[in-house]
Amino acid sequence: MAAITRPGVRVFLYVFVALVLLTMLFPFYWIVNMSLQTSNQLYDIPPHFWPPRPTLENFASVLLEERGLMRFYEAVFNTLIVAAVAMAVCVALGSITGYALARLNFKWGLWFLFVLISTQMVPPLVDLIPLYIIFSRILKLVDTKLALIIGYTGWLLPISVWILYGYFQTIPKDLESAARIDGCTRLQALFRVVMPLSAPGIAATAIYVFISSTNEFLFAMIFTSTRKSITIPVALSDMIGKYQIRYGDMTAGAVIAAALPVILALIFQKYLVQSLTAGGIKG
Amino acid sequence: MRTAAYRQSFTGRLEHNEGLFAFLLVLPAMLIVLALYIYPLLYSFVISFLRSDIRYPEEFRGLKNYIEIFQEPDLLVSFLRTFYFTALSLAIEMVAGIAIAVAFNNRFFGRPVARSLILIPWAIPPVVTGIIWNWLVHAKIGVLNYVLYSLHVIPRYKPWLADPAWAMNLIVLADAWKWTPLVVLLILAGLQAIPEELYEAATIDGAGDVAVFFRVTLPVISWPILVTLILRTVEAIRVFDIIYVMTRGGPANATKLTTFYVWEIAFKHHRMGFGAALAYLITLLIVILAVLYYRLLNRRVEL
Repeated sequence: MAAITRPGVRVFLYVFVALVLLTMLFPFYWIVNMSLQTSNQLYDIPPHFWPPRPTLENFASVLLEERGLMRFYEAVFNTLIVAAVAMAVCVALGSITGYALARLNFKWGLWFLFVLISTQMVPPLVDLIPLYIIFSRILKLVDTKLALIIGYTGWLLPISVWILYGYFQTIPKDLESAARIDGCTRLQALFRVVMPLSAPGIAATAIYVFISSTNEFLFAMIFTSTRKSITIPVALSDMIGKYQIRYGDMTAGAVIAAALPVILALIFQKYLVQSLTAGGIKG
Repeated sequence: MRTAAYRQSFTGRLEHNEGLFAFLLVLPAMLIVLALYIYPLLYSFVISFLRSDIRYPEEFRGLKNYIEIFQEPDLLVSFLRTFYFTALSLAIEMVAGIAIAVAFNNRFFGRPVARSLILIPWAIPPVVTGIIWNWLVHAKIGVLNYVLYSLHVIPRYKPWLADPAWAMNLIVLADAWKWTPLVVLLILAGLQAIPEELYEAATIDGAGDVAVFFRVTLPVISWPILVTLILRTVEAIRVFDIIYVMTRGGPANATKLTTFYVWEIAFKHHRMGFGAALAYLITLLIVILAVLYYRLLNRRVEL
């Protein structure tokens, strides 16, 4: 199957792959195309399949002008902070937990792994309703970036542990034993030998957590309300109701929102695929 | 000196006691799971017996919230809509995903680039996916309208999202577009684990392409397929972002799926207790589905 040689089948293969790529890429191309046109050009019939006079004015306007008590760049800033902190916490805790579960003799290890995977089955609203009550009535965390960081850490930590757990299992145990015989303590062996060797797994986890928190919407919509904490997806969804006429804002905002995760996904494609398929394959 | 001595004894204990060391490493994660899953789940269970509503003081209602679920007129319809959505988008994703994965498992010019590029729909935030599809099918400036009109498929521009049936199908389409890449990746990873000799042996035994697919490929990737099915079912039942952006549950409630429905009850109408009871029911459904899938696939593999 790996090498199809019959010419008819090969032509079919290329046509199929071309169609797949066209379907997968055209919608994204279209929003980029729209974001580079003025609002008047968007109304032209036939539509422009290529921006006639590419302009960045939509990007300048959406990023800098104040809309409904906030500027879009503030949402970009909030999103980056929340995603970066959630990423750091998930990688740090995910590594030590994954390591302990993969390598050490821990009585409740399997049981904990099962609890971790079960958390992913729970529909978000089961968790969101009580969390909202706790955050709003007791902890007074509504409309803070901290609320999002806590929420995203809880949401993404179980997956991070699973990815890293899988990765640590692939690292030969001998290296660690050798380090310990040479006089390293357990912690030193973990941080000086195992972690550096696990860099690809850590990168995979980091990218996955970062993209997931950047893109999250339901939690952010419920827990944020002002410029202090609103993230990009919430800021974008607000535009739909309020500024229906400002097509330029929405197209440019959408492109900005998609740019970072798309670029990260393309650069770190190899690691990302590893993390996405980590839990899936081993039976 | 005392602290140094203490520390030494503490690290000393860590060196000898592997279980203690492991426990300390796992502890932070355990506390987080406890605080952010276990405790809220129990709390949610308590709320589901209360009238937890911003307008009234909390009040114990016993099983009334659960009984009310069955009196809610639109709930059953929203379950049916969710079922339709989940079944249709999963069917598209699985068929397209397996077909694309099988194609991408061949060597062809530009394969590494193609495999990177199909990640794009997956990486795009769901809110942006909704916005993109909003524009594609826009009543006045949508490119879909232009293309279909030019090809004389439709007599005039059509407001697709204002038509209940089309709105639902377009949401399915947008969702399938976003998630098919993930299915491709998962299946592809499974396909790459198949040794080439298996195909050679099958071909030597005179099996045609179709027979090879059904007898060799499909059985081997049945585990990845199961994982993908469960993963995607859980996700599909959760779908919210795309609906919020594209239709807000409309037109005429046609796209009001379960999660959107529960969100409205809990966060728009502030009936948290009733919402919690409903959310529990959905969890139960998901567990039943997961068990069903597992048993179905197990049986097929044994045959």
